[in-house]
Amino acid sequence: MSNSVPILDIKNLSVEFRTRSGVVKALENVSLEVFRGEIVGIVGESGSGKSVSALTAMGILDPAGHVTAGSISLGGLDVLGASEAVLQTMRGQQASMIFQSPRTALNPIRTVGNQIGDVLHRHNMADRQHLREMVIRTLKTVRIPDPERRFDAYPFELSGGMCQRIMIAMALACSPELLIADEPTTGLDVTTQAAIMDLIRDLSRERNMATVLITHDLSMAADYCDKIIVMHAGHVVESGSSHDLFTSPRHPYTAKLMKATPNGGGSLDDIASIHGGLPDLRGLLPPCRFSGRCERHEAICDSGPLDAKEVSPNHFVNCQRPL
Amino acid sequence: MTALLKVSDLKKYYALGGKGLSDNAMVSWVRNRFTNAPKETQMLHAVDGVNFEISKGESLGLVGESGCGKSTLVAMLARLSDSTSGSINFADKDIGSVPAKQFHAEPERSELQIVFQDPHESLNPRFTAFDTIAEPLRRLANLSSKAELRARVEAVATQVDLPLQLLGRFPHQLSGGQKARVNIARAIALSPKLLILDEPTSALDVSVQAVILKLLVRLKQELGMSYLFVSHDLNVVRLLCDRVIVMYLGQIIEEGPAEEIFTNPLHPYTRALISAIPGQNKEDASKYRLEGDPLSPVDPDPEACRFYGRCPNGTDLCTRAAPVKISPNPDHYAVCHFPVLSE
Repeated sequence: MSNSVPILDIKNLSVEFRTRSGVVKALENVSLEVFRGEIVGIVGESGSGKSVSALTAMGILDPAGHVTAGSISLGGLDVLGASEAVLQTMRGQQASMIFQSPRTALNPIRTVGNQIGDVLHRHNMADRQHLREMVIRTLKTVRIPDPERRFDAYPFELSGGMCQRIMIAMALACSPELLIADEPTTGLDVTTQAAIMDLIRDLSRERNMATVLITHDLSMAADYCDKIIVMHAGHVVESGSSHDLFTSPRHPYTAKLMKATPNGGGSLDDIASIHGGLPDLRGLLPPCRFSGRCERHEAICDSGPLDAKEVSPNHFVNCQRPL
Repeated sequence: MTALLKVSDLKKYYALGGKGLSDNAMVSWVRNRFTNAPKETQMLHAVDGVNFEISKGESLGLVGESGCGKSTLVAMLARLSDSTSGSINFADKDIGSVPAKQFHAEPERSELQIVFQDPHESLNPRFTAFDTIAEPLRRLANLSSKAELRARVEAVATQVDLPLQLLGRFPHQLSGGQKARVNIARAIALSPKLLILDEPTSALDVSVQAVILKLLVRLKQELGMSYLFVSHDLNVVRLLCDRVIVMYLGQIIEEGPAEEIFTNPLHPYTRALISAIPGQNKEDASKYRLEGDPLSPVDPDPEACRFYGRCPNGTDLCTRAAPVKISPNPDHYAVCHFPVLSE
C-alpha cells in the first residue's frame, strides 16, 4: 500500500474473559494491520473472536474482558493505555464502528436526524444553527433519497437498509480514518446487502479510509475486500490478499471453509461441512486450536507454539503442515 | 405427476387502521368484487392472487425480499392463518376452507408440517429435546403407551442423526446444529407428505449448514416428502430445489426450473436478485443493482406493474396496463411487459 504506517496496528493481542466457569481465552496472539485506502475482511465462524478483536480495538470491550498481552495502535494512539476521555474523542473522529442489526442499534424514540446531530455536536463539528444543514449533507453522502424529509423520521418509519444507511452516516459524520463494519448486512435482503456493500466500498475509496469488514460470508469478503484475515477459535490462522487466499488457501481451515460455502452451480456433493465444533476455550488448549477438527493433524502439530509462516509475499499461515 | 398441493388465486388482505373491516365483512367485500367497501378503508395486499402447485416428491423454492409476502403465504399454507380468498388444495381436499383454529383436528394436520426459522428461537426453552419431538406425537399420533412414544421419538432422533443421549437436554445445552436437528425431528415425527422449511439454515454457521442441507435431502428421499423451501440464500435454493418461484409485493412474478431461473432469468427483478448474490464477477453484477425501496403494498394500483420505479426496463406502458404473462416454454413463465432477453 501507498504509505507504510498502518492506521490500525494490532500486535500479539491476547484477551481473556474471566467468568464464573473459568477463564475463556478469547484471543491469543492476534496481529493485524490495516492501511489507509484498504478494505480488510475478517472472516470466521461465530465465536472465533472477530468481534472481540474489533471491540478491543475501539476500546469498548466488555468489563469482563482483560487484555493480557499485546498492543493496539490506532492512528498513532495507544488504545490500551489511553484514558476514557481520550478514547471518547477518538471514537467518531478517528475510528467508527457500524454494528449489525441497525434497528436495535438506533434509538427508537428519537429522530434519526437528531441522532446523527448528536455525533456532530459531541465532536464540535457544527454549531446549533448549522447542525441540521450538516446532518442533511451527511445523509446525502450515504445516498438517502429526500434527506430533508428523512431528517425527521424515526427508525421504525425506515426500512432495514435505510436504517443501515443512517448508521453509516452516523459513523462517517466526522470523517474517521478507520471504519469497522461488524456484519453490516446480516438480516438484510440480498439486493439491499449488495447496495449497502457497494456504498461502504465506494465511500471508503472516495475518502481513502481504512476499512475493516467483519463477516462470516466468505463470498462477500471475496467480492469486497483487498485483504482477508481468517480467524478460528481466537487465532489468526491465515492472512493474505483476497486473490491469494481464494486461489490457493494454505491453511486446512480456510480450505474447508471455502468448501462448505455454496457458491452457485455445482451440486450438494461438492460442499462439505467442517467436522466438529470450536474447541472449548476454557482450560488447556493445544498449540493449534484447529487440531481437533483437522485431518492433517500429526504429532508435530502439538510440539510447540505456532508462528506465522510467510508462504508467499504477504501471505501468512499459522500451521505446522500447511497445504 | 399429480399435484400434492395446488394453490389457486390465494389472497390475504389486512385492513389498516381503526376503520378496519371485520373478517366477515372482508369476505363479503371480496365476494362482491371490492365494490361495497367503505371508501376510507385501506387494505394491505400481503398476498395477492398466488397460483402454484407442488408435485409429490418435488422441492419448490420460494424466494423474494422481506415484505414480499413469503411468510404470510407460508402461514396460510401451514394453516396457521386464514386466507381472504382463494383455495388451497392438499391431496385433493380443500384445506383452505377449514378455519385455521380448527385445522388441528383434521387428518391433514399431521401430513403438512413446518420447520420454523431460527432453531435458537423456535424451540421451547423449558422442553427437553425429547419433549419437543414427542409433542406432535402425543397430540396426533394415537400412541397407546409411554414405551411406544419413547420408541417413536428415538426412531425419529436416529433418522436426523441426533445422538440419543442428547434427548434429555434443554435447548440451551445444545449446539446450533443439534437444535436444527431437533427442530427438523419435530416436524418429521408424524411422517408428513409436505414439509414447509422456513429459512432452515439462515441461523447456522457455514460449517454446519452443509450437513443440515444433506440431511434434508436424505430425509426427503427416505420419507418421500415434498418440500416448500423458503430462503434468502439463493445459492442454497439452487442446490436444493427442482423449481423456484419468485415473489414481489405479494405476487409471483416468475416461476420455472431452478437451473433456468438462475442461468436465464426472464423478469428484471429476478435478474437483479441473482446478480446481487455475493461471490460473482463484480463488474458484471453491479450493472443490475436495484435502487430504492419497493412500493407500498397498501392498495396497489391494479393496472400497474408493482416493480415499476425500480425496474431498468420500465416504460409508460407499465403504469397503464397490468403486466402480462409470458412463457418461453411450458414450465417457465414471468409476468412482465419487457422481459429480459437472453443474451
